[in-house]
Amino acid sequence: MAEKRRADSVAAAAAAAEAAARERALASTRATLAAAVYFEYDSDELSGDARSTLDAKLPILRANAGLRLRIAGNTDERGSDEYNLALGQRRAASVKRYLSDQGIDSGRMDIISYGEERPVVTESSEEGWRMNRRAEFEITAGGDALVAPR
Amino acid sequence: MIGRRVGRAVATLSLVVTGGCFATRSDMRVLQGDILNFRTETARADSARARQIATVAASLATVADSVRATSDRLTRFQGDTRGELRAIQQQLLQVQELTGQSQRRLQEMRAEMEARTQVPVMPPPVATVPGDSLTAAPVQGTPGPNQLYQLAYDQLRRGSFSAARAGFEELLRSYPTSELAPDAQINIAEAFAAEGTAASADSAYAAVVSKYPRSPRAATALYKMALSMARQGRRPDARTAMDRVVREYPTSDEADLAREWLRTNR
Amino acid sequence: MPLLRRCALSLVAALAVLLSVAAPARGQDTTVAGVRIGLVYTPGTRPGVLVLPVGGVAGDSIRAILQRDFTYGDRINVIALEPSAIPPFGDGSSKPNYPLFTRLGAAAILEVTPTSFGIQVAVHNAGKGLVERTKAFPLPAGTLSANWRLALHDVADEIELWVTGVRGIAATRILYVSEGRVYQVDSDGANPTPLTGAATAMSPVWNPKATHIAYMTMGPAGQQIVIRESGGATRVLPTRNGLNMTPTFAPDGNTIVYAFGAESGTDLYATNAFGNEPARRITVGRGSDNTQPSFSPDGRRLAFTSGRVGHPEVYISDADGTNAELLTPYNFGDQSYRANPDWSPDGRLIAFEALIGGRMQIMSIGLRDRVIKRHTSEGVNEQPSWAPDARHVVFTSNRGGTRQLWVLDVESNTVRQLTRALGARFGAWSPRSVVASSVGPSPTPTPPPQAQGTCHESWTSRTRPLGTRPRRRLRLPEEAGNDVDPGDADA
Repeated sequence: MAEKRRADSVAAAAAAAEAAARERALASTRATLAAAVYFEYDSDELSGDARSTLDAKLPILRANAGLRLRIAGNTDERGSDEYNLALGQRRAASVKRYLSDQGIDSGRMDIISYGEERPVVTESSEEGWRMNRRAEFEITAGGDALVAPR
Repeated sequence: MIGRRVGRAVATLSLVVTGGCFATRSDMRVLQGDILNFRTETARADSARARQIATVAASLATVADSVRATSDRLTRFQGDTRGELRAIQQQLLQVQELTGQSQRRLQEMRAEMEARTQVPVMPPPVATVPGDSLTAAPVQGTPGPNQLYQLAYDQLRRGSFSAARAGFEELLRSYPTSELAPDAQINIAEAFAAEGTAASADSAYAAVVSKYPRSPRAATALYKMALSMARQGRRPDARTAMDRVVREYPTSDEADLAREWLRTNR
Repeated sequence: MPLLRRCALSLVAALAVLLSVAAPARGQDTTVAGVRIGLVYTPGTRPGVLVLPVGGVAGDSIRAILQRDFTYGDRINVIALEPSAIPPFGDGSSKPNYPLFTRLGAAAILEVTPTSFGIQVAVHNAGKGLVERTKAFPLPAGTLSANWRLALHDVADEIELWVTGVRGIAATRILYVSEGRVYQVDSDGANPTPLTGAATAMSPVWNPKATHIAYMTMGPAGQQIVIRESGGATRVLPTRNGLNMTPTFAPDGNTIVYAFGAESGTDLYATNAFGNEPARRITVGRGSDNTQPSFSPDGRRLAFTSGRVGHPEVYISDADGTNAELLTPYNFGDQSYRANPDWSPDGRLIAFEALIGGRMQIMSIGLRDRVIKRHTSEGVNEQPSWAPDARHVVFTSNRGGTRQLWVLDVESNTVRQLTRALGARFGAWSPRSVVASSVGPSPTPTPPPQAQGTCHESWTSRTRPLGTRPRRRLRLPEEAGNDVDPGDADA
């Protein structure tokens, strides 16, 4: 009797650990998917770092065929407010183009630009500007059924 | 192989069933030994097979991986190439812009040089009669092609369309082979268009294409003519002209615009 | 006797004030024979004008508003004397003491009298010693209301035309964006009024008749262009999904040019303001960003920002997009940043912003000579928009700590602050034809007391002042300018 109870609790603990591990994997999957890519001043070119960040998303996108993303381009506060909207659009488009060049169906990705209107850092410094020159990723569909790639 | 072994076991078993009544203890032991042997043998064979299958699967996976890696490399290569192509295109554009800018500056500087060299020449005998400078033949003291062009162009920009036209026509008369001739011709059309005389404008645009088909102005004139026709409601004519822009000047900026116009104006 | 002494005392006081405050006014009573009030506007000289104290309940407000309008116009030197310091100006029984007022620096004296329906204005020519002209201006009911002020600004503009030959710009309004809403404000900073609800608006512009405005808002699938009629009705310009921004009206009022971008750069497109014809692409950006279009006053040319060399520069082209050429001087390898062109209403200049030492500054470039002038230096200064007089520019500056609109006089490079909002940007100056309550949030159909252009022909017959009528601006003014400004006569 006592032995069975112990076995049960061991099994439950194992299941919980497994669930936690799954949850962790899922969380890290989400984080990988959401990881922003950063750009140089007045540029929409993807650096090596940016490519690696995007490459890490590829297996997730391949493992979740129902996943749809919105890619949002952003800029730092310098330069023309309006021109920065166009620059943000170009950044988002550049990310989408890279992902679709890597085989992700472009129909799964929408793009939008927020220009300099949505900074993550409001401080006017090189570091603040660097953090704001980014493309962000938002799941627009298929987020509930997300699975971690094997 | 398995079939044969199973056959033998079945034979042994049937022997047990049929001759059960005669079976002794030792017989039973032998039989049990046989069965045991058979089991271990089968297990060994199975695990060997599993190993074989695993090996095959592993090597298959390796092949699949390398295939995937190759295809990834290929798409990456394609992506990179596309990126590089875009970069090259960008540089080309930059060079193009700069060329355009220097050409314009060059033209302005030429006009200025002509103006300067004329200053000392101006006073001498001929050009002293006032009021006939435009009708006089191009002799000493009359403006050179660049200067003439600049003057007429200024008139065009300030809205003196007939004066501008007269200036450009004078340029064409006096310097028919000047490299500014196509520009003068298209600006005559522009002046007509600004005055609202579309028919004259259209034939002046057409003259650019027929007289200077190799000038970069030809594509511009053809495109402007097409737009003018569209504005007049002459859709089929406009389409024909747009088609010509695309066909005859496929790499021009105007062809790019014409293609889109044809797409959106079906 | 006591009267005389008081007179003398106030004269002494007035002279003292004059010497300390209005010193530049001295020596400006230069009389050009045969021109109105003995004055004609030339750059660098400002005729002195004294506004006599105005009677009635709103008298002080009327005087203050007129004086401020003249000061903001930068073409008139207001002899700003306290009413108590102004010597008596005659009461009809005797001829006013014109020489006294001439010594005060006044070339013209304004006598404003309230009437039952508005005000009566008399302009005295101090030099000639006579009343140059009088005119009655109706003012709408509701003293100090927005419409009343606009009508009074219009009076100020007409007086400025009489005195200087150039119509003022007081009766204009400026659009801007604060906290995502489009606002309008009077040219003197009064009546800041929101025109749109909470949103994400950017880049508002007027149409040529100031009956409509257009602006951009953020939508769920990108940005859209909204057109708002004077009554408040709005509609979305039919465009493709994506980034639709920086709308501008062509001078014909029917065409809208805007920037559209999706996945291969941003290009300019032209469409009917009603959006009932397919948009026609007019730039060939080949993947670069082409935005911020601004028409030449004749509508035949277009200035815009393009990133086709790798960073933003100002370009000009024909209105159909052909003959695009780089306007701002760019050298290979140069990492400059020049954007936001606005073509001046007289066609001569293009204002733009340029990055200098890491900060944006307001610049202008001459279209004929390509001479570049820098107009600002303090703080970050951007988004220039010309006033209809082609002399003033509204721009955004952070020089006061927050982003606000400021007004620049490009001839003297002096500035004044226009807004005191919770942050303001995207200033857009209206044309002259702004009418009362045309874009107001609560339209009250009071007919505007417009008196312009009715009876000043005799004044303007001698020289045609530049740009007095909006229609005039449809041509480049060198034509008219040649006989006024000999410095430009180069043909």
